[in-house]
Amino acid sequence: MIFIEKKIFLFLLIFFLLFLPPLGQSLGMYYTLHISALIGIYLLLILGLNLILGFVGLLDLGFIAFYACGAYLSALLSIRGWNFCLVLPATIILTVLLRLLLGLPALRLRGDYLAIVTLGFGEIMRLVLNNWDGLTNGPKGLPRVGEAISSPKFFFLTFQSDLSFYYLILFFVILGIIVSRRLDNSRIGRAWIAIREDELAAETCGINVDKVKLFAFCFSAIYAATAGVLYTHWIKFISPESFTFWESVLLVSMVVLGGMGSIPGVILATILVIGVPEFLRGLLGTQLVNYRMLFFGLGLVLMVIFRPQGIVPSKRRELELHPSNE
Amino acid sequence: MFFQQLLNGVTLGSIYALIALGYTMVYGILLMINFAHSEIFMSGAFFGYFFYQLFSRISFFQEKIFFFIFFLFLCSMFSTALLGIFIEQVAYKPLRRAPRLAPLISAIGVSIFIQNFFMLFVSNQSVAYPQIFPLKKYNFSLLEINSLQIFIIFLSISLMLVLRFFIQYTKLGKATRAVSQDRETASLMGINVNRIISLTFFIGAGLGGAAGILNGMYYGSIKYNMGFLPGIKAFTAAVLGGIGNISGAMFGGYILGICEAFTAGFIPGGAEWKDVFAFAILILVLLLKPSGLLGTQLKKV
Amino acid sequence: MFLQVKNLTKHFGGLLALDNLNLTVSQGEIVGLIGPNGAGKTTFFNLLSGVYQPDEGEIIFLHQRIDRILAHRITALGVSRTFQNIRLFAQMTALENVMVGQHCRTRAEVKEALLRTSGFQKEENEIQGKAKELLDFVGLLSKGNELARNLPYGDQRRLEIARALATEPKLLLLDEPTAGMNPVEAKELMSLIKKIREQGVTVLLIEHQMEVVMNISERIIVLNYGEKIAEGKPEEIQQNSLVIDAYLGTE
Repeated sequence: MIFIEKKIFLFLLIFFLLFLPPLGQSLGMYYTLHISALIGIYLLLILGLNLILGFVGLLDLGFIAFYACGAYLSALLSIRGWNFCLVLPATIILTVLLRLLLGLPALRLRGDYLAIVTLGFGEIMRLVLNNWDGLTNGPKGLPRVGEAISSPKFFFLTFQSDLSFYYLILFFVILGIIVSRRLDNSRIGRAWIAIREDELAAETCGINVDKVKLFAFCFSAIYAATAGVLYTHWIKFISPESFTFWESVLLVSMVVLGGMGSIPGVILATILVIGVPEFLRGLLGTQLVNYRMLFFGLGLVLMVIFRPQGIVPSKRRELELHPSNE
Repeated sequence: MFFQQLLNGVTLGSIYALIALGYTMVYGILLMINFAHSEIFMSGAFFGYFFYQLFSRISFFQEKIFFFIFFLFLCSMFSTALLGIFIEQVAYKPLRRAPRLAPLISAIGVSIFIQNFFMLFVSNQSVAYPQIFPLKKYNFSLLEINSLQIFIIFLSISLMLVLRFFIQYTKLGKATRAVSQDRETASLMGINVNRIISLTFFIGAGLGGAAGILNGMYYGSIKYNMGFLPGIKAFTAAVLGGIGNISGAMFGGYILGICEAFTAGFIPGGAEWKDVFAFAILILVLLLKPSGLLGTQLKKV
Repeated sequence: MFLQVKNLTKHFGGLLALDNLNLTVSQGEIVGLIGPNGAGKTTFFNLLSGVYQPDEGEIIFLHQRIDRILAHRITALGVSRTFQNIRLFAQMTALENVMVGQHCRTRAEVKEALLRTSGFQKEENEIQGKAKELLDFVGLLSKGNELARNLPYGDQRRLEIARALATEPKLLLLDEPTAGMNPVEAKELMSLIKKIREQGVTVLLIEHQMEVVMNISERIIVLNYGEKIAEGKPEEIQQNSLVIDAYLGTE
């Protein structure tokens, strides 16, 4: 995998995600569609976390809170009769605002303290969703989400069938990948990585570290919110237990396993961790899958010690070195 | 009612304080959050359970309840302490020179592993915790106290006093303090820093193990995922008292325990929201006064 | 006056790192800053570059007080630095390190980066072109695509200088630029520093190798225990009894 060019890898990936579900469906394996959709939603989450953890190097142990925020907001708005075209931007804006509210004070803290504050925030979010019966119906989850959600309409496009909605998810994933890549290879992305490598040196290079960090922190919430909206529309039921601390940990681990800041790496990790066990569950039964987390924990320790750069280490872009005359 | 809740708070606080010591000691020396400490605490509860099963088959212990309890705690704490050292050697030691986040991520890996290990190979359900000694209730005019609460408070305070004595007066204890002040200078003075680090994990994990058993006795059941919440609360306690500060951790533990008991007891709906309250304290202290209430200056990067 | 420092004082706990320091630097000078270990030289650089804020005193750079503003703003005003214990962006290529240095002189924001506007492309090309020029200037162009952490020590020092130059400084602060270099490398570096000055950049450098500092500085300032104990031409400093005492100790 490591030897395949990045672009070819991404191309192959998109090819598979495009054609696997319809193929599976025609063979009567309906779960391929479901698993592919889940992979897509997780890909968005992971790409978002990769921005903040992989590029800027900030350990966020509460990322799932913003996914939850996106999922619940979109459900609540949909129940009140809002159209998908309004639900998506409204959810994104509100989630980013919440993220800003956390980021403003929390980003002043040093690495591991930031991790703990985000962890605490994530738990508060889950507990609030769990305890605020009046709004969220508590641990039983929001009822009637399914009925409230109508087929998303974009101007003349209507996403009626599951397969077509799946392609909508895929569209956002591809968009997410393009956005990540373009930011990576720009002045902003370079500033992010510089901050990850050495905050003080970045500041003395003229980077407004606080501002750039806050921006990345908020920007990553767009991914989380979008993933949340799509999740609600896909699953059509949400409850607080989908958004535990261990989900956040799973996301962080996938970024570390894949290679911090490596877009193909984190994508591959998502497929390995989310997709493969689900397919195996279908083929081999649940017994083997239960051991997944055990190996996962072990793998994480081994990875940090022996291969901290991840399965597909992020590779810096090489440039022509002839002095240009422009 | 007030004194009853105060008593509940002190009991809970004793357990938090014992766990918090493990966080604070490791942080004091390695400047690292030992995220796996909550699983060490959970393991301690299970070790206690295993040793109970083992010892209750030995006839000698059946008459002598004192020895039964003594050896139960000794063996469980020792096993937990060994687990602590093992984790340090395997998952943290190779990362001493790695970036700061590396050991934290490694610790998360250890947490996942231990939790799933107990879930897969011991039980994925709650396990009823044995009642080690008969529960007696004592009624005073203001409050009712039972023998278990007395035992928890007594044992915790004794352990903390032993720790204080050890740190303050023994040669190894002084070496520990020296290492936490300045690792390099201490090693130049001939202190074996690696041994002190292992010792710190040994003590921290041992105390965490004791807390695990006490927690199991207090609530009457244990489960593979029981570590997370008390773990994070104990960490809050350590931060509250000023992380790295041993007296601070004890103080923070009791403060948090009492606050929690009062929230649950006196605020309507407080029982549901008491965890939110604990997390809110954690965030507010980190944001507003990260050096903690007792104010140890944090080392900057 | 180009740079003026008035009554600058900085404490760390009970330690007085800088004590009522006064000095001036004129445009286009190369000024050497020397003194025994712990004399406060690096602290002075940290105050100048905004890493720390002084307890008392003023720093005036081009008629503007810079002692209370953030480090990245100071860089934007034209003060740039290197670090005693090299602080490169280890996982970035040499070229990217220099490109990061141009951050405050360029302006492409997210919108341009996402839409890849023609303005963005043009600026990117300019950033790359300038980074290559600077790498060429310090003699590292052929190693532009190597990761900074894989470069040998001497190259890392020069790369750090190139990165500092990328911020387009008027005043360049070099903290022990020849530390760990062999005499040949040190000599090359001296001519590099002279070349930098020829481009109109004022240079203030901390240096331990006396040969280097006596050779290239036009003026030398000596610090000891946070105080300025001498100032003058290299020849004068070499004769100064206070300086000799500070270095050899007076017992």
